[in-house]
Amino acid sequence: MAGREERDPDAELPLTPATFQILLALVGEDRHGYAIMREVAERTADAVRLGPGTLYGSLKRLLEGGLVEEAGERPDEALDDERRRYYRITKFGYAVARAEARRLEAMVSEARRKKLLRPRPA
Amino acid sequence: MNRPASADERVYELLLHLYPDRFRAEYGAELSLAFRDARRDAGGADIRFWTGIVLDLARSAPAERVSTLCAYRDHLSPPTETHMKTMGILAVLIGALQAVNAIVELSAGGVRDGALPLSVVLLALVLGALLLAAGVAMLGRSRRAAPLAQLSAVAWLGLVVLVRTVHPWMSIASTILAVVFPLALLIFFQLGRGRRAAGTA
Repeated sequence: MAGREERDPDAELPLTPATFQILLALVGEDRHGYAIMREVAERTADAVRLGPGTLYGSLKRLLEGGLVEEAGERPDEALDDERRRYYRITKFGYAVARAEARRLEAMVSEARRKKLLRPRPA
Repeated sequence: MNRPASADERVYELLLHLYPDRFRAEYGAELSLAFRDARRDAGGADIRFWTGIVLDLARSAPAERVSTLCAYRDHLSPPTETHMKTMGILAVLIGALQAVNAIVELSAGGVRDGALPLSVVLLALVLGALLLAAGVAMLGRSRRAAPLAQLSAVAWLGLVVLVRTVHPWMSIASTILAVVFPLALLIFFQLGRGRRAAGTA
């Protein structure tokens, strides 16, 4: 869609935790729905578990918002179920994820400054 | 790669009917696949697994229903000038009728006989006048039309609740005038607001 690159990523913030986790899961690799669920669960040591409904509801909104798109090709068609769709983060989605990461980083810095958190040992 | 669905999968596919049709048509197959994979990796569908699935459905299905309703509202035709005039005329007529009805009630002795408290009848008179004023504002395309009409509609609905607590019987005509029309007014102005919001997005 023309002009999507000109959109301001900050206008999409704050992201819901589920949305941010999905975008993080798609950074660097196209994945199908269940692979996203599994990646999020593994990366967060099961602290965040996305259910199928939450996942696809979020994916629908991410697709509509142009943050995610369907990947054209499948990694291995022979081994995969043809009903699966693979999803890819867009440039705009990447910019939004980065803006959200910066926002969270600023909040954590503020928490450190207020001594809610101690700096991690080097 | 397709294989017959297990009983758990069939139950989940039935539960998918909680989602709107379009969402199910678009993502139903993938939802089923994700369920199948999650069930396999969990080593079967025990109570804990099903609790997670039901909680996920309880969170996401209403959200999708609301999202579908909002999208439907945004695609409806915007209220036109003719619609505004029609609603304005109806508001004037119904407002005047309600006000006259309250005056008749006062003069006919309904209040004296204890059928209705004086405060309720006076409130009906004021709200009838308010609805009438809202109708005039709508006909005159005043900027105060929307807030006046919405205030009047909400106040009428509140009055109905109040009247029903002290006077349980209400005729069909009264219900239409005091419930259906205020609701129609609220929806009418919500549609206009939805369209404006969609237009500026």
